[in-house]
Amino acid sequence: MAFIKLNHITRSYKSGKSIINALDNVSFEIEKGDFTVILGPSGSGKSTLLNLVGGMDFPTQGEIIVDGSRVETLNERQLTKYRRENIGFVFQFYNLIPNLTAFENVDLANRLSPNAHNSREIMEIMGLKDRMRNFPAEMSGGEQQRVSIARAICKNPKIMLCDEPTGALDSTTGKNVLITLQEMAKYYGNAVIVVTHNTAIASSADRLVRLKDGKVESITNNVWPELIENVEW
Amino acid sequence: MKYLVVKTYRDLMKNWIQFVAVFIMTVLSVAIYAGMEGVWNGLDYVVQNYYQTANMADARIFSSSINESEIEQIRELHFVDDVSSSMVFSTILDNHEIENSMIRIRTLNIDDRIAIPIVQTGSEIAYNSNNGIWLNTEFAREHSIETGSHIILAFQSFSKEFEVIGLVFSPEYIYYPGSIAETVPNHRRYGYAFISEVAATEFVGGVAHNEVRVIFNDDQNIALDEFGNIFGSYYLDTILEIDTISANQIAKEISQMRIMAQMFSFVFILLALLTMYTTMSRLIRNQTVTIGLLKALGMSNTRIRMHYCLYGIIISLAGGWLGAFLGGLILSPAVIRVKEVTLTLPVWEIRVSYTTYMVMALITVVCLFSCLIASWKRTREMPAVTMRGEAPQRNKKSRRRYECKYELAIDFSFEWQWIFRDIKRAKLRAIIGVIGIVGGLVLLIAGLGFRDSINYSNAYVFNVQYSYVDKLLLNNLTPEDRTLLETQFDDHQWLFDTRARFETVSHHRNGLLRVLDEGDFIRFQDINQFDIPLPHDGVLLNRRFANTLGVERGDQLDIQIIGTRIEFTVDVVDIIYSPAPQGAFMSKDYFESFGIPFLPTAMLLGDSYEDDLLRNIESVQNKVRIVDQKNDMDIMSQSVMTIIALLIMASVILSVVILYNLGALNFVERYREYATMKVLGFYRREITLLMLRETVLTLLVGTAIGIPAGFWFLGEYIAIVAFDTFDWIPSVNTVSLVIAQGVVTLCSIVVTLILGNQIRKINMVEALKSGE
Repeated sequence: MAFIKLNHITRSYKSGKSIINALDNVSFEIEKGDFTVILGPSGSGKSTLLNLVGGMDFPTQGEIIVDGSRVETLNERQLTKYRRENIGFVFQFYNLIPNLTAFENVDLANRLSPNAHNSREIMEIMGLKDRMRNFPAEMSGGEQQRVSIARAICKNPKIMLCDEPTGALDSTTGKNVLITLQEMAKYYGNAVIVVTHNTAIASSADRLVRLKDGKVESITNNVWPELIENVEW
Repeated sequence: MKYLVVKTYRDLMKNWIQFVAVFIMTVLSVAIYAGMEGVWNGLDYVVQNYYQTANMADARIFSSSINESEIEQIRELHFVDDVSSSMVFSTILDNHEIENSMIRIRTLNIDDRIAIPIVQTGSEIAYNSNNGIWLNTEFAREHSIETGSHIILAFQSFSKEFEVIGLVFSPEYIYYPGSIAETVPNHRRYGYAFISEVAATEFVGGVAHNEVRVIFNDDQNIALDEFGNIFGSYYLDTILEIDTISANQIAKEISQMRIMAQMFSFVFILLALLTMYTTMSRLIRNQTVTIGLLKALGMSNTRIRMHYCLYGIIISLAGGWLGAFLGGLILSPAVIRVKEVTLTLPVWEIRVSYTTYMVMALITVVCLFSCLIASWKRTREMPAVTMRGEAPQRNKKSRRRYECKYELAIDFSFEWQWIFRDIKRAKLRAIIGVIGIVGGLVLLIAGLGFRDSINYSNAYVFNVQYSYVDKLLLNNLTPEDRTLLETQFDDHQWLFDTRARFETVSHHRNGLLRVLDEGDFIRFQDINQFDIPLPHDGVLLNRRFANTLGVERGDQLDIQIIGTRIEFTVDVVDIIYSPAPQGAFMSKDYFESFGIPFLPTAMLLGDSYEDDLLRNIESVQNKVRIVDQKNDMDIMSQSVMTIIALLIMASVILSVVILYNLGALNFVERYREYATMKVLGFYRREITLLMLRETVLTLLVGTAIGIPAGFWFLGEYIAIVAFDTFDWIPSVNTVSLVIAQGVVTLCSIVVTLILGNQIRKINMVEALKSGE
């Protein structure tokens, strides 16, 4: 059975008298170690999909099965535990805690997970050795995003969910961030899901899911995904 | 601009919790001031009105003999406008009770134009009535006497039946405790009345004037010595009307209310200022982009600042008007109920003056300025600058320490790191949190401590200081009666109480002079509460009394017994702890060493005796049971409890409002951080615990400052509100301290838990959507 299985997922929102389907009967599967890219224009339902897998939202219909467990049936406390032990989030706007230094932001996540990696090692791997004692406001956007990724990785999550991780970064920094994420999937065997509207990285994904108007437009499996450093941005 | 007004309205609605906090504090501060001012201003107005109606004297002269010629000489003095004389004497109401009621009589004649009583019911004053009496209303009410009732009065061996033909009020008796040893007016025991000289002649066989009332003209060169020259050896004393017990008490009560109102209003205005500033700072910080946008649209800084000032103006004006309304509606009647215990007025009025409106204006200006200050910096900067955010400040020293003890610092736990840095980053917010705790504790300790202090002081006087059971009040004690009393009551102590004038080089004050014979029914303790004997070579003074005279141990003091020409100088041997009665205490031997005979005015008894034993002893004027004295004090204390309840209520509101506001402010500011923590997998309990840690820290700091500050405030507060005749001893019992701390702690924790519960409602998806 696939590590992540989305089975006929629909997520609807009421808007006045009408109902809007942010996701409409979406089904696909993701395996461990996959670097999955979900591609689609604005409003296609990418972030909604990520939130559902991440246990931050409930589907209106359908099943989300992660590592054999039905996520949509979990209660609030079980969902918290699910996020705590299984999910690493990377946000477009980093969402670091401004009062904590880079190291403390990472170490904070480290304390949550029973199988966490060493915070310092992860930061060194992320090239943040010299920025450990800096507060987020003292760092550039790229550095903050790397801290955000380090925080996600440090928990040693089974799934890394990245919502437009390069959206607020310049091309070089964005590329470096994606390289890191791709490597994480390979080295640590995480299922990395990256939501983006940047078509340039489509060729680098192990699995490419294209969404349009809340529906799966296509699913492509790349047997030989291109390395991100070789991608023309 | 229309849309700025719409924006203001929506911002107010969105941030209503923070603005409600400012609003409540504005309401409280104006309500307290207006409520108190309504009473003192109304009291002053009513009293002045009565003074004018009654044509009050400027001075009273006491002389043992007054004739027409002397009155004319006074009238001729350059500073005198009008003069009248009368006979004043104390009578006993014959109502077949051993606990007699005393009525102070003043005679009136056709020429009397000064300090005329105001008739409330019944006949107008008739100067030729031979058996009519005009009795004071409260005394009549206590004895169920109405107009048309008959009463029998006794004076020495004289007795006469009178018909009550009018019930009156005299502004000379607004505060009338009846006796120098009493603190609280007792309308059942002490009354006053007016009779014509015709009736007085029938009653006591003639009229011998002993009091002169004088009204001064505009001449500023008032020479009181002239009175002494006119009356010669018969002259006793002159007292200006403003120095009488009644006028003094009114002035003191007005001054007390004014100071209380100023103290409490000041605290609340300060808190309103701080809350307004933090609320506006936060609002403006969150609207940095909006400010930039408004500027980009071409709006001037002045207009943007005016827009933000509007918040302060709206809130403070609304709160001010509501406060003024509630002050008059709730606080003023409560304060009047307290004041009615000591002051007797036929009608009380609530009148606020322009100062209340000035306080409202002050609050508006304060709020306006706090908005202006908060908006000033942000409107000067461009959004691009402010949007980058501010890193927590870290000086070189702390960086070094951090580097040296890096591991240790990390082990200090991220929660505490976070809290400490947050305090550093938002100092004012942290200070307001501490002020909220300190303010709540101070007000609660003051409120509960005030009650404890009154109870403690009453208990001290009646349980520690006095150990007698009954007190016999004596009048013109004859040697025969003295022997009789000594024979009948073994366990006794003689007392001589008199009103005296105490004078040092720089100060003078009237008070009680108490001379004690052998006995141990009155215990004296020094200010450290160690028992001390009554000295035989000097006097003991109460602490408050000594302070007002500026006297210390070892100093000398001149004493003149009022109503006599007896004067002597004494040494102050020690200062005593006793809260009441306020005055000087000396032994019979020391008193007699000045050549003054000891004529007891009271006898303390160690046991309760049958009233029959006293019935035929002429000199016994009254019997006062210590239980009744204590009850009288408790009644007065109970009346003060209304104010205390209001004080405690205000403290609790303050604690809740400040702490909730602060908690809500923290929550809103950290909403995104809490959402991140939720996404990372923090349980709600863990986030709530983080919030609780900060609460505990604030509580610890607030308590460390609040408890000593509470004790200090209570001491100052009591020093201001205590009466000159009863000096309450500041005291807070453990239960009150636990309650005060408990209320503040509970409020803080409950507020934190309520806000902690809000974490459940954080929408992670929405919260983390954008960096804005």
